[in-house]
Amino acid sequence: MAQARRRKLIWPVVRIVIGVLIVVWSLAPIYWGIVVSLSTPGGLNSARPSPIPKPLTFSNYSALLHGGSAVSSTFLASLRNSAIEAAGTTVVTVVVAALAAYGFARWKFRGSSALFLIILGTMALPVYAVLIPLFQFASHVNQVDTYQVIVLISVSASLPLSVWILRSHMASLPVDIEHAARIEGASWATLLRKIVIPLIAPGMAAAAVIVFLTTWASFLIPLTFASTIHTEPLTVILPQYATRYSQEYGLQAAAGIIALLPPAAVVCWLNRHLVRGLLAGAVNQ
Amino acid sequence: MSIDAPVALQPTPDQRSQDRAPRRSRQRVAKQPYLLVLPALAILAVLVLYPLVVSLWDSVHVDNLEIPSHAFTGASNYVHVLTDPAFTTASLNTLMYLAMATLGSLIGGMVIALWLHSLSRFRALFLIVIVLPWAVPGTVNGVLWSFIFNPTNGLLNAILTSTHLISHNINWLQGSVSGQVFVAVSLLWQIVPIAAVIFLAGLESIPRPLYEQATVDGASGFAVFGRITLPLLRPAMAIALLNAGILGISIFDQVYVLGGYAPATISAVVQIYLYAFQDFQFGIAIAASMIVTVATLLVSLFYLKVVYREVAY
Repeated sequence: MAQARRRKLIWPVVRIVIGVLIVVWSLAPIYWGIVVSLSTPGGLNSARPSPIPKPLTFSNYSALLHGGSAVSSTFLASLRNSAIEAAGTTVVTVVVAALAAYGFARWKFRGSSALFLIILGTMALPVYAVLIPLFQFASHVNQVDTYQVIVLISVSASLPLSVWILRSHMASLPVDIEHAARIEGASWATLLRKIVIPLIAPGMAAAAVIVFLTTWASFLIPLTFASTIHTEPLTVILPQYATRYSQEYGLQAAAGIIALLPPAAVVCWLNRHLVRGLLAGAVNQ
Repeated sequence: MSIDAPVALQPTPDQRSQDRAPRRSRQRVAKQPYLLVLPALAILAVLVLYPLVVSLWDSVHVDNLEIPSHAFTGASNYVHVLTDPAFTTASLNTLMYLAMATLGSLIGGMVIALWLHSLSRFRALFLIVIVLPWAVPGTVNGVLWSFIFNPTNGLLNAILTSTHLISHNINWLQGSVSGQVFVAVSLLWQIVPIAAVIFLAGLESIPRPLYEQATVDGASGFAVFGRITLPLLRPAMAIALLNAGILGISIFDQVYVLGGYAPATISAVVQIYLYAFQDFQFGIAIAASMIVTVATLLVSLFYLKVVYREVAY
């Protein structure tokens, strides 16, 4: 009896301690990054680390964002490159994947299961298995350091997962509405635009969220194919602050915090789609 | 989630008699599905399958120079890679990352999932907090952890010296064990959330009556966990292990940012990048990438075979 009562008292405390540890583990590195980004170089070197930057400064952010200097023009160009490459990849991937997923979910045609397995099978191939031949093609046709080559290769990397997410979503939709629309004489284009796309919007959102986050974060592909600031995204510029600008920790921290704002916003607003996409991706890798 | 979901337009026998119009139109538009899947197949054929064939061909035809020679070079690239001490070092480091990624994901993911599952309120809010590190790009992740592990003014050294646990700053990332451990910590920060989400979905799929019956029968909390929760989580565990294993073997961003090409922390994929884009030894780099790809597939098969069992309630 006494033992049971003691256990009843201990369990909530253990639960709170575990919860605090989990939250600290998840947020502390980001919090410390924010502290570094708001510190002066002198403030960082002080022997006693302080959880609040002393003196507090926004100079790192203004150095990156206010035009004119070499630092800010490089940073702003890479921010634009990240946005173009992530958005381009997301749009192309989701459109191409939605078409293929609709084909696979609604028809059983000659070779359909074989073709679907081939598409899924490419997911088992890591990007580094094909990176070097792709680099050789791209340099052969003078396409290194262009948006189109980075977007196309990123599309090929995220396409299979998107086809998978969208196909399983479409296969779960009732086919009766489509039958009815066909009987009423709707064309395939109308059917797709008026009925199918609104119905599959949640699946498309899940795919789009995963593709956007993956491409925004991608490093190996742009490190290989983006050779100058014409196409280099934030992820490629970021490690260079520690060497190119002689250990500018404050600038690097500010650039890193800005780079994680879009994914953080996506996680906060689209969490439900994200978890669905994450699960689909994990089930399938 | 099974691959064989029903194909919806396949008419069932009784549909066939009532539903003539769609069936006729389906025959008329037999080209439709091929046109729909064509763009996706074309992209994957040109950008994944064809380069893979080229990789396999080049690995036995391109010698160590940049210029492709079309003479058959046999296994010489593979022999070079497998006898290169640098590749051995990178492979051993990668095995360490694989082990730590797997173990850390399993334990960390389970603890987080059980904690989230036990919450009656604010679960959605804490799920956001937990998933956030996964969404942080790998290089940003590496940079954030470098502010903690950095030898001159990193947080870890500052805390340890100001509490007099160490007398002088330690260069953690240069140590062969500490370097790997800290790189693995930053990898785990990114990948444990995936395991947690998978385990949480697994926990939520276990039928509640099973627990109620066990409690009525007087089973203790640990017995319930060991006899009901863990066995029923096997499929989720297989998926989480597979995922962590693949991400552990292919670790690149964190190694590149935290350790660069330093032998203490270099991983197999960073070594491939080094062969190709620093040394310009494309044949060797391709052979190394084929070896790592095969290793990844073998580890995946192993995890699936060992952990995955069909679960019947």
